Amino acid sequence: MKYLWVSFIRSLLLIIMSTDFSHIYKKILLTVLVLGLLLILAAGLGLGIGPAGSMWVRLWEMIIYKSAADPMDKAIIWQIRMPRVVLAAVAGGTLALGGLVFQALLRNPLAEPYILGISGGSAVGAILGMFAGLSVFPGVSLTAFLGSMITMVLVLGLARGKSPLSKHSLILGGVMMNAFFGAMIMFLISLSQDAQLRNILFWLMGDLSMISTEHLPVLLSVLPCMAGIFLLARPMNLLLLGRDTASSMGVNVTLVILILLILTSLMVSVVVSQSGLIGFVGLAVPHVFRLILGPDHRLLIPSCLLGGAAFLILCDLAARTLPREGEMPVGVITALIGAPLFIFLLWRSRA
Amino acid sequence: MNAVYVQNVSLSYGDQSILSKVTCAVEKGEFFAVIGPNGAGKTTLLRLMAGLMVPTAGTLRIMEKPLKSYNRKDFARRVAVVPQEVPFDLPFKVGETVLLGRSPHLGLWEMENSRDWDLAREAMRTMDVSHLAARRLSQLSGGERQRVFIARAICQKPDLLLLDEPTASLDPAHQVKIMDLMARLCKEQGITVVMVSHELNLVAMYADRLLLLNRGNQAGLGVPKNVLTRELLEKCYGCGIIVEENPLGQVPLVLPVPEKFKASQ
Repeated sequence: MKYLWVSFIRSLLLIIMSTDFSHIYKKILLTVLVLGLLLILAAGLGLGIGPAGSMWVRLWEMIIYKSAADPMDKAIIWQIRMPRVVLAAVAGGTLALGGLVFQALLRNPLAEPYILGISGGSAVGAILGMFAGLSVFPGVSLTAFLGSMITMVLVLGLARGKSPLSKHSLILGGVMMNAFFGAMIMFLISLSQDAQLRNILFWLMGDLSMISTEHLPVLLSVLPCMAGIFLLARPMNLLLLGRDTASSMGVNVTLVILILLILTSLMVSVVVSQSGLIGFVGLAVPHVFRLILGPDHRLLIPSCLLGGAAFLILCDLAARTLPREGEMPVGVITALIGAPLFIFLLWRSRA
Repeated sequence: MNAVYVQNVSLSYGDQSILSKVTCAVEKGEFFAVIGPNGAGKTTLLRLMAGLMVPTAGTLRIMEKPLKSYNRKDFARRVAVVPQEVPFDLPFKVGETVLLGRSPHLGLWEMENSRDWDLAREAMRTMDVSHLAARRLSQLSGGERQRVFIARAICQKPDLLLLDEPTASLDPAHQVKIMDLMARLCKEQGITVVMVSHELNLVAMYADRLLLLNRGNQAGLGVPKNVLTRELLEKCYGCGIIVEENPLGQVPLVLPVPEKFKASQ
């Protein structure tokens, strides 16, 4: 077993070091390796620490020696913490990737599913679906998807045109969408006594604690979306040059934009119906990676996926462990980090 | 062989006519310029040639083949476009930008190999931007950025290069530099260049033939000496114009006449 690992890592290193290997492949492999390790580390932290105490040693024992640990510990780690860590990872990766896609398509560094109101639209769609008594999958995910698509059409419609105003009206439109959807969510939840609908705070600030092991397979549906976006990395690079140039370089611009918007809104709505509105992940994560790795989406997409996953696991860890009693919504942590960053980016874009 | 063949091409939105019955043929390896007042339809004609728009009537053939018979990528391997406005806030480095020109030749996830890098380096040498390779686009001057985007287009290895006012907002030295490089591309590499320009004196010195457009109509076509005549230009531009012989050679030199000099005419 040990030898297998050693030889695996050695062959990976050999591939990376070999000279006839394309430069960009090397970069991608290296970033994936580093961020993959970071993600594993974050997941370990998320599984090991919680209100029930640290379980480092026991977690380690369970993984390495497969020992039959205390069934209580086992239940805490695998029934309570694991689904939550998985949801955090999926939601973090999805939202970060969603932000990256919107920023590339709209050529606006402030665009992000939450800020544009698209998360809000899918939350309202999800609540309406729950009202109608639909199943979690595909029923509620579908109404959430419809909600996000309608919002997207509205917000993008506002931002049409070439005037410099359109860049800001995009964000303004998103803010108003958010205000409206926030009110809608409170209104709808207040009307209902149904515990199935969860509480207002869950929807408005995001909460990863509601997930149970039986709902985890729903999250798998984001994987094909991510794969599709990954395939379109080069057209996304070309789109940065402008639509005409991209088109004259062989990109079917309309088709690529349409596919990207649908895939993004699909995966965002799956995540939102399971986790509520978690803002600013799609702003903070792509921004950091763009600073470190440059603008190539072939690098940025895998990094945002892994980095976003690790980021939200750690944010959720803070949300679980920082409060003296109980826990706070994870959206509190992400907003505390992301909103100042938003203001900074806005301040920098004045010039 | 004709690189571009345009016959009776028209474009209109509703009852508003943008271009009507334009007919011209650009030979392979020719340096061809499209001139005319603002709103004459120059850019529209270029966009039609680039396949970015579809004419409402007429025949348009690129490399002896109708536009419809190309798929997008095949077309991009033969025709490269440098638009008038290039985004200036791109986070790419110069080398990366030029390398993007290889995209039409690569599969969706095929990586650039050393040959692609060689071609990118060659394109950068041709456009004299090699020394900028590691700089960011946002740090360049207008002339440098324009040369980088032309290098990107050359890296596409096209047979036909379409440029929309590549010398706009450049100082005379940079204008001449870009025109020199374009002329060399035509002569040495056999690339056909079609350029939209407002610089009448520049295109008079460099272009093999000119197409003069006025309000969507074809007003003149031929060698600079035959198109850049006082009569034709005054009619199209609607201002007083003097045409002399350029002291540098057998080409016309065009001067618009300002109001205060009109009395002395």
